[in-house]
Amino acid sequence: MDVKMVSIMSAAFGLAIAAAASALSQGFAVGKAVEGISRQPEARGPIMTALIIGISFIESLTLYALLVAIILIFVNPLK
Amino acid sequence: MLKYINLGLNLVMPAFVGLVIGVFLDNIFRTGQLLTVVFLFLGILSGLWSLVKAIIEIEKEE
Amino acid sequence: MEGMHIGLHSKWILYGYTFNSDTLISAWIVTALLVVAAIAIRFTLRIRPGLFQSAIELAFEQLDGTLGERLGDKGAKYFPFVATLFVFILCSNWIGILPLDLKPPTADLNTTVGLALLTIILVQAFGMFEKGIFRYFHRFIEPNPIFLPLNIIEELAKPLSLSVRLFGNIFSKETILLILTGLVAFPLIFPIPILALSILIGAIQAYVFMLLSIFYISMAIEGH
Repeated sequence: MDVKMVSIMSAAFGLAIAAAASALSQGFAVGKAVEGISRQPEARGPIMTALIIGISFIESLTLYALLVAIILIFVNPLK
Repeated sequence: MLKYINLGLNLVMPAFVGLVIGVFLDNIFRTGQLLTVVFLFLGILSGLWSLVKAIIEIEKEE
Repeated sequence: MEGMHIGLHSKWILYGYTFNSDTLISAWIVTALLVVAAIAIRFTLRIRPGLFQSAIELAFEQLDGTLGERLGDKGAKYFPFVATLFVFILCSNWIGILPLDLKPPTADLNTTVGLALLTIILVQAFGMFEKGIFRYFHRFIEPNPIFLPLNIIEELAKPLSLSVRLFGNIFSKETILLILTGLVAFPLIFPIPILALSILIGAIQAYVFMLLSIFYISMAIEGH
């Protein structure tokens, strides 16, 4: 159980959990947006804009986790 | 509409650049870990600021 | 499972510098292909276009429309650079789909970082030519001088995000194709959906790279 094995395992698990949480949240957001469009089809433009902005925020959290995982695997500062 | 693809990555990359600059300057000036945290924070703020500018411009288009 | 190299390149060593030889050979083949196609179109131009020429004219008008709606009439002089960027990245993304033993040159981080650095340096040069050096650097103090480090970090993060986005998409698609053809029982059937997806992804990534270059140019030359 040296440092390298622990860091690789934690990178993999952390990335899986981040991807799952992001998928759940984005699915919820898209579901609500599609429901809003179906209620009032002429409000499609602003709803889609707000949807894309919200998805980019959620996606950035997953990308933070991906960044940490890549740093842990490839340029690990602890030897 | 395809210009919205880069909004997610555009929030993370300045944070990474700030981190790299902080580590690099810490190796030169030997101030421990202080500069790394400061530049990481600046990087995150810069990512948020670029996102705010992009949202203002999207609002201006409609 | 031998003979499967993921992420390894064959290398040349020349005067103490190491080059990835398969990436270089792929890039040269793409460049030669584009030059030959350009010369062939140039010398067979007709008033009533045939099939190939009308396809090229359609793509031309699309790119010109995208550039014009963003930059207005000042945009015409940047058209060669942006169009070359798009065509080169498109062809080098698509060359990994042909049944030749070629790896796309954008599946190597060196190529994408080179393209992104070239784009950013040229964007700064365009801004300086249009607005003069002092007024161009005034852009960094735009709302308030406190914003100076934020703007500098954002300028440095632009080439990084361009190169990592292109490299990540193309390299992951290549790795998936390699694994599907190397490990699975029917290596001729399973990669077919991934090949179809990779045509789409290659086109989208080239288009997004060009769109972002146009966006950065318009931000650099905007002030009147």
